Order: sequence, then C-alpha cells, then structure tokens
Amino acid sequence: MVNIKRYFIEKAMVQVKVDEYLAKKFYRAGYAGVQIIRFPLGTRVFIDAVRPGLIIGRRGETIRQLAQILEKEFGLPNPQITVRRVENPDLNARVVASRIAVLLERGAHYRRVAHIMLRRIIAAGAIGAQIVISGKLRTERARYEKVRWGKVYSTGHQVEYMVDRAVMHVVLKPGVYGIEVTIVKPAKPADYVRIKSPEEVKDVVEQIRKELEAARAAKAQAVASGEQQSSSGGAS
Amino acid sequence: MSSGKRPLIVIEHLEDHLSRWIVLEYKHVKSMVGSRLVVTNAKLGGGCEKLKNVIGEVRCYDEPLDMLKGELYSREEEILILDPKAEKLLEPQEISMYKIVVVGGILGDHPPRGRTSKLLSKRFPRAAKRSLGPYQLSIDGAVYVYLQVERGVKPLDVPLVIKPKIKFTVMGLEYEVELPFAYPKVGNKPLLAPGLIELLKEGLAYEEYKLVQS
Repeated sequence: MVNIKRYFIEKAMVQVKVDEYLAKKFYRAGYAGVQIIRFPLGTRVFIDAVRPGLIIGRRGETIRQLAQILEKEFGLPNPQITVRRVENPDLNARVVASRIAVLLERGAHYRRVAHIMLRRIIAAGAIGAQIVISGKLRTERARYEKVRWGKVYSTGHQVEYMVDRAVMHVVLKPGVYGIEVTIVKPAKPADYVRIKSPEEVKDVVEQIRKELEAARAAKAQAVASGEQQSSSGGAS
Repeated sequence: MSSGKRPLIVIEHLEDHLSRWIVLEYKHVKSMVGSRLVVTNAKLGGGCEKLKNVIGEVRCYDEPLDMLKGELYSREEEILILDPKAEKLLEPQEISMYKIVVVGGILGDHPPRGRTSKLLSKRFPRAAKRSLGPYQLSIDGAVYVYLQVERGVKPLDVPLVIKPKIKFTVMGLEYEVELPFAYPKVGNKPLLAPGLIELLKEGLAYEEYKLVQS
C-alpha cells in the first residue's frame, strides 16, 4: 500500500525545491511562481513570469536546458514547460521583491526604490501594502525600515486569500539587504460590512411595512371581534 | 568618588571608516563625559585630525590601545572592557579598581556578531571584561549605562527601551525604522544621539561614508 502521507509530502517537497531553484535562477525575469501538474504521460510545468522571453531563451535554448534539469535533478518525468506572462505584476509580491532586488543591485537608493514600488502597488489597485527593507551596511547599524500604506491584514481568514507575501535577499558590495513585500489584493475581507442606501432597500422596507400593517390589522380585527362577543354574551 | 579618580572613557575605534552614524554617537559620548573621553585606534577611521574635524577637540590617539601602555595605563589589570559577551555583570563597587573603561567603537549587527569580544577582549587577556546586561547597546547607550553604574545603580536597574521604533513621514508615506538594539530610557523615550532621527529621516546613502572621508 502506498504511504499516502509520504506521497503528498514528497510531491510538495519537489514543488518547493523547483520553486526555490527557479526563484534563484530567474529573479531577473520577474519569476512569480510555478505550478506542477502530473499526467500519466508526463508532467506539465507552468512557470509564471513578467518576462517570459528570458526563461524561454533564444530559440527555446534555456527552456530546453531547464527541462533537462527538471528531469534529472528534480526527478520530474517528461516535463512539458509552459511559460505564462503574469497578468498584473504590480500585485504580485514576488515580482515586486525581485524588482526591488534588481534595482538595489544597480545601486539605486533603497528608500527611493521602496517609495516607487509602493506607489506602483497603490496604482495597481491594492487595498494595502508594506515593504520592509532590513540589513546592515558597513556605515550603519543594523535596522529594519518599514513603509506601509492602506490596510495590511496580518491575521484572520482574509490573509489566506487576500495577502501575498514574499521575502528576498540581495547581496550588495557593502552588506546584505533583506526585502519583505506584503501586498493586500483587492478583494472583500471576511469582516466586510456595508450600510446600504435607502434606495437599495426600498423594496424590502415596503415589504416589511406591508407585513406590519397586515399584522396590525389582524390584531385590531381580533380585538374588535372579542369585544363584540363579550357584549353579546352580557345582553343574553 | 572624587572626579579626579574616575576612570577615563576610552573608545577603541574598530570600524574601518568614520560614518555619520558613528560620529553622532561619539559626539553624544563627548557631551556626556567631556574631557574624560579618549579615542584610540583612530588611524583605522582616517586619523585623529579627521576625527577632531568632525567631533571637535578630543584626546585622540592614532595607535591602538595595546601600544598606549604607559600612556593610558601601566598594567593590563587596570583596564575594564565593556563587552556584551562577558560572563560577569559590572558592579558599582568595582569601578574604583580600574584606570580606564574601554568601549568598542563598533556599529552593531543584528544578530550580534560578537565583534567586541573578537576584536577587543581577546587582545587583553588579563583585563577585566564586564557586561552591562543581556541586550546589545549603542556606543553612547553603553557609556550612559556605565555612568549610571558609576553613580551606584546596578546595570540591570537602568531602564531601557528594547528595539525602539521611530516613525516619520517622507513624501506622504509613513516610514517606521526599527533599531534592533537597546537604548536607555530617559523621560519615557529612548536616548538616541542628537541628530540620529534626522539622519534616519534623510536615509543613509549607499557608500555614504565617502562624504565623511572627503
């Protein structure tokens, strides 16, 4: 009998290893994630990236090499790789983190980079975002610098479907920087409450009013018939 | 204790540059201890002349502390090194035994790399090494806590702010800088070197120490 737990753990381990490998190798291509689906005849590997061209390579050279690596190093049988373009890269935490890493490597000032990326996330329609850049350069004490905008959920059910978080490290000449990006995507949070306008609830209010009037009329009728019975009883 | 008998406060400069951050901390120490401050090993940061230009008149030596035997101390036993990795805590009663108190001129890492121990304590095997508590302090913070101990307060009784967070707004966005160290609490606030908040607001430029060097 197949050990079910082990089967799923091994499957997830391969996914994590492939993901780590691709993240390290293709962060310049704006790597965003990988999806591995097994079929009876092989494996379909979907790679999401901002610049698919860099993963495909000239005449598909890089992708062919990658298929060999996935087969030999990670044990994926007959991998068929498809590279997909990320629809909204500014709402993908991994893409934003890799962009920050690339800009820092080019020597851009970290605060300017954080500022620009945060503005882009806001413009893409996020509910909230947070960028933490931490580390120590030679001329400084170690520190964590956080810039935040909007609502950043850190607990609750909504974190599972709204919050995208990515961590990346970048080695610069004078020291190491850690980058953590948290993006809250536009969606309805679990505790969302909206007070409707009177126009929206007109029908419901009308219905309730009618029901109340009918109830009052029924009550009044019952009272009237009770009085009539008691007066006719007294006369006999 | 008479002021004449109080030990000298020696900062052994151990960074290979002189950045704005470390200069602010040295200036703060100078404002706290005045003429008791001595900076050694200044050659590593560009020499005494440069140091005096940025922090003002101070007793300074280009040579490391080892080479100043006879000048600042006569025996190694007269040295007290404030080392966060030391096993023993500093006691107020023992201070009169020492001639100089040495603080490492280091901008700390998080987690700490124990550079005071590696670069300073190991060079003086017979010197006393004492800790000021379990937290990593800044240079000026360590001197402040030491001065409190000199007044008879135990190091663990000095109130501290652990990992202070400094908030400010830059171009409409709220920034929060967390310093992963402990700073003395004075007036319910962390005692930071004057000008440090402005420096953090400015943002420290890449390889900015070149500005100080020029």
